[in-house]
Parts: sequence; structure tokens; C-alpha cells
Amino acid sequence: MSRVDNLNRILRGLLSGSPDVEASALVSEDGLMIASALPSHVDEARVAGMSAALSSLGARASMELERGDMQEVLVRGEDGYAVMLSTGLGTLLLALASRQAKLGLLFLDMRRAAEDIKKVL
Amino acid sequence: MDPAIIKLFDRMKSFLDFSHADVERLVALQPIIEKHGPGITNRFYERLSKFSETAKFIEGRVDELRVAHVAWLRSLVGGVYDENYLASRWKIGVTHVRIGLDPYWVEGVMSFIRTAVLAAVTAEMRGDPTNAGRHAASFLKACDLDIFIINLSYAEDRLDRLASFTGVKRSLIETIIRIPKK
Repeated sequence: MSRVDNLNRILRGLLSGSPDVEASALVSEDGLMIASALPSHVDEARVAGMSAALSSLGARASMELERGDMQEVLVRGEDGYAVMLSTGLGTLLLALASRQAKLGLLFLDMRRAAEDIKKVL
Repeated sequence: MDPAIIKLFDRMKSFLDFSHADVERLVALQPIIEKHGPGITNRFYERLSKFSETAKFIEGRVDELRVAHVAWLRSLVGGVYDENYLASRWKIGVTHVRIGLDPYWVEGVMSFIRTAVLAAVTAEMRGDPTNAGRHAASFLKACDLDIFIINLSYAEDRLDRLASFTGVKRSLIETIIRIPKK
């Protein structure tokens, strides 16, 4: 199984293991898509660029505002959440979840997925 | 200087066909710049003082700026267009960002200089219009190289400031710029 296959498997596992997670993606810090489990209508380039930009801003804001190393970036909209979490190695994990999602569980599942991604990368 | 910028500068010189003959003609313009340069500089600062967008940047500093401007005019025809020359022009662009002068005013400033120097060249070489045209063309190339460097440094410095403040890498900014608009 290739690295991409393994990464796709981890992303799909995040979706199947958490019913409230609707989509996920692994993005480089340069804003390029590495692997994804996104709905077909979604523009991957925009998702990757947006996620990387938000994550960079979050990391800088956390530092400037003396909040320590950034743990995750959370965006809450009327219809749910977008969570970005740095996996290390210059990548970040994005999860889109419904508004019913339990954030604690979501963060836990994402961190587990991030650990698995690190092993693959 | 960033090696990529030095390479780009060399490529631009090649593109403009900025040759040894151009350098010789620019050097030959030195007496004209010596004669007309201070007058052009005076008129230039008079013009700047008449526009609120530019006047605020020179208020109380005109004498000091005049000296720098005459030196810049002299270096335009100095005959050396190397890395140090590139670095000096780069600094001009960065300085313009720092003081908050919008880039289109730099274009306007250069237009003033082109017009004024070409008028001086035409007047001084009126007995030899063909040669005057060649010298004018070389001067225009030097001005174009200057504006290219100044604009590039201006754009780079703005992006660097944005990247530095937001933490967004330059490579990410370039990725985002390439994403088609909706």
C-alpha cells in the first residue's frame, strides 16, 4: 500500500469513526493538498489554501497573544465546525464536522489520526 | 542581495538589450546631467510639493532630499549597473514602502524624470538628432531598469511584511495567489 493510500485510509477512518465528521483533509503548510476525504463538489485547492492560511494565522496569533504553541484552530459556523490541527512535519489535518459534534471527542480523534499520519509520513 | 533577484535583474537587462553601447552612451550623458541635473531636481521637488499625496513626504526635508536626488541622477548615468547598483535601487523601493508612498506615485516620479532628462538631451544634442535619439533610448532603458527594481522591491517588501505579521509562508501566499478567483 502506498503512502497516499495509507493517508487516505487514515482520513476515511476519521470519518467512519466519528459520525459527526463530514470531511477531512491533509494539507501542506504551503497550502497544497496531500490527501483528502472531501465531498466531490468541494474545490480542493481552495480548501487547502484556506486551511493552511488559517492555521498559519492561528499559530502566529497564539504566539503574539502569548497563548503558547497553537493546539488547533477552530472555526464555528451556523452549520458546524472546521478544525485545523498541526500534525508536525509541515502538514495540518482539517476536519469538517456537524454542529452536533462533540468537540472533545473530535479533538481526540483528530490527534489520534495525526499520530497515525506522522507514522506514515 | 537574494541570488534569485540578482538573476532576475540580469535577465531583465538581457530582455531590454541593455548593452555595453548603452552603458557608453549613458556615461556620455554625464555632462548633461551635471549641467541640468540640479535644475531638474529643483523642478522635481516643486512638483512634489504641489500634490498633497507627495508633499507630505518631503515637508521639512527638501534640502536633504535634493542632495540624494542629484546623487541618484548621477548614478543613473554612472556607467556601473552591478549588484551594488541593484542593491541601491532595492533600498529605494523599500524606503518608499516604509514611508507609505503608493507605488503609482513612483511611476509618476519616474515619468517626470524621463521627460525632463529627455528634454535636456534633445536640447543639448540638437545638432545630432539621430545620436540624441540613441542616447535618449539608453537613458530610458536605465530608467526602466530602475523602476523595475524599485517596483519589485516594493512588492517583495509588502509581501514580506504581510508574511511576517500573519505567519503565512511566502510559498503559501504564492499558492493562494494562483488559486482562480470564484
